[in-house]
Amino acid sequence: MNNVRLDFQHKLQALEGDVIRLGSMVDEAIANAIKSLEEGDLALAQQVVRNDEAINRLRYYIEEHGSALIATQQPLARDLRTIIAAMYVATNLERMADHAAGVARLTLRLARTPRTDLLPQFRQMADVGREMLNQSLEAFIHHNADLAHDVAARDDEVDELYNVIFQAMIRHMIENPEQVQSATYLLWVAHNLERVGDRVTNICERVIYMVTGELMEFVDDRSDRDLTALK
Amino acid sequence: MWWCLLGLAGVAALLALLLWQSRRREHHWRHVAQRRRQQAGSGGDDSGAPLWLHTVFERFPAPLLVVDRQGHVVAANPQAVQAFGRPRPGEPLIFRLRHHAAVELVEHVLRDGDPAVQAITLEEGTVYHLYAWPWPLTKPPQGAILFLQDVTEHVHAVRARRELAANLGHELRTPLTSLHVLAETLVHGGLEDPDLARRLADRMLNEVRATAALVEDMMALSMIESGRVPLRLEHLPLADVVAERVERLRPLAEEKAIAVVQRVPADIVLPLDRERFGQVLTNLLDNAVKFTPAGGLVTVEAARHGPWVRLVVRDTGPGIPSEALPHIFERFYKLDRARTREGQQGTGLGLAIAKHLVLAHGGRIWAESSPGRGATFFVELPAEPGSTHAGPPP
Repeated sequence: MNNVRLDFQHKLQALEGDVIRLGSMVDEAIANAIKSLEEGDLALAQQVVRNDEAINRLRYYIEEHGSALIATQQPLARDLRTIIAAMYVATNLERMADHAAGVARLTLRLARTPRTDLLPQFRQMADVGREMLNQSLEAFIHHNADLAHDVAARDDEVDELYNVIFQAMIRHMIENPEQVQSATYLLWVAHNLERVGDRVTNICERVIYMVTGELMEFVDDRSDRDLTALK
Repeated sequence: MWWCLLGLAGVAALLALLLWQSRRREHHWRHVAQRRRQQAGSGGDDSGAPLWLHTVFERFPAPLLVVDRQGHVVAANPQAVQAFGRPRPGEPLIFRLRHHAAVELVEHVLRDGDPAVQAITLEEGTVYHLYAWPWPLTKPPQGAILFLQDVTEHVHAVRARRELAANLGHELRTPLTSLHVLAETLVHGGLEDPDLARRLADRMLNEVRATAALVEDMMALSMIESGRVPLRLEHLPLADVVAERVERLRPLAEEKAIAVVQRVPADIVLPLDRERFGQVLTNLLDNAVKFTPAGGLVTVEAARHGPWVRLVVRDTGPGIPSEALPHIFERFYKLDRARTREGQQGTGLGLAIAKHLVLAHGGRIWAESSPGRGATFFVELPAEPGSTHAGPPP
């Protein structure tokens, strides 16, 4: 391998490394957001909101770094797709961090530990989302399209949990009209966590594109769940 | 003339030979000096490191990673390779240590040139203290050396100790508060009414008994956990030990009209400590009877499974929620109070004691349940002394 090629490979690895680093920051944000909700830890919730800025900065850095690589190295085929995928993954990771910050902001609005029996379901949604996130990054690093397929399939688990919470919250609101506001906040929390799963699915689609060159979309056959959930 | 030319050529050849030898010697000594410098530890790569330094790096009983100024991994010892996989040459650190805090720590060390330490929890739950030093010792740093100390067990132990103190405090506060209120009522007028005084004294006695039971269980558990309870193993018919413990519990079962059925073959003889294993049975049967509603059924069965004997205690109570199942053998873990009626509260230590006693017998214990369909506890013991269960319960 000549020096120019070696230099490019190092730069590409550094770009992938930055994506993994961003993923680790987002994973921590989701973990802390759900912990702040469970424990009513307002200081931790504020920390999640504050850290969102560092995540945004790293995302822009990755975009700049990726654009510079394309402009100066003029990569082809798989290398080019890797750079495009890295930039796209970073955008989705940054949006996931926004969802984590959203959960943290709702924790602050709820002000104290919310009185709901559904906290284990919220925790499970967050845990599945985090597992999916970490596995999708494994798929990205190891250029593993099969793993990306498997991870995307797990979005159904998140959707299922969302449905459970959605129905229970609507019932709770009907039975306890005085708690409509807090129940609505909790519903938004669930929605934020559900979106995390969707973002991971986007990442998986892009990993498959990176490896195979084929753009595909995982169809969410539950797009009408908000309506059917009430049946 | 001829001879002159030949002599000059000879002298030139001699000079060339001397020059070549001198250059060779110079090269040799330069090489030796370089080797010596490297052996003195003043830099150089892995291959130039002295043998003892190489041995330290290879045999160090914890992961060591070396990164360059760009934060790319340049060396990893076998422990690091085992824990985080083999790094590709010049790979960014985050590929091996999947935590942004590790990268930030290295950036900090490379920027300031000072050593630093940070606790990181990796995805699989391992907690490390990550130490980072700049290298070389003189500034400016050209990279960092990372040492990872696995502190997972320590973190868990600290958490367990903290929880134990909190739980014990909570468990003792409840009876003490009751005693306080009862004694106050007795002092402020209760003594003047003999009937009331007797009732209050009875309740105080109950509280004292409950507290004493808690302290007894706590001490028993602590003794068993620290291995200070040597088992006195005898070859005993399992059916006898079971029958003995069922008899002790019969009054309580009859009071609730609960049938206790024993199906333990008479020919199963096991190395058991009669008293300690009896305690396991009592704890399991006591729970089964306590949680089974009036008119229910408790079954005790045993059968051989290869080199093991499996004892099964089954009840027809409300069952155990799946999220509680992994925790029921922990100290002070109690099912949520809405599921247990007043009077069913124990010390929260019975199953923890049972677990440790079964482990001491070389066996294993686990539970299965689906809510509304009762709970089933399994105890597997080695049919012969000396063998133990190495794996976790299924």
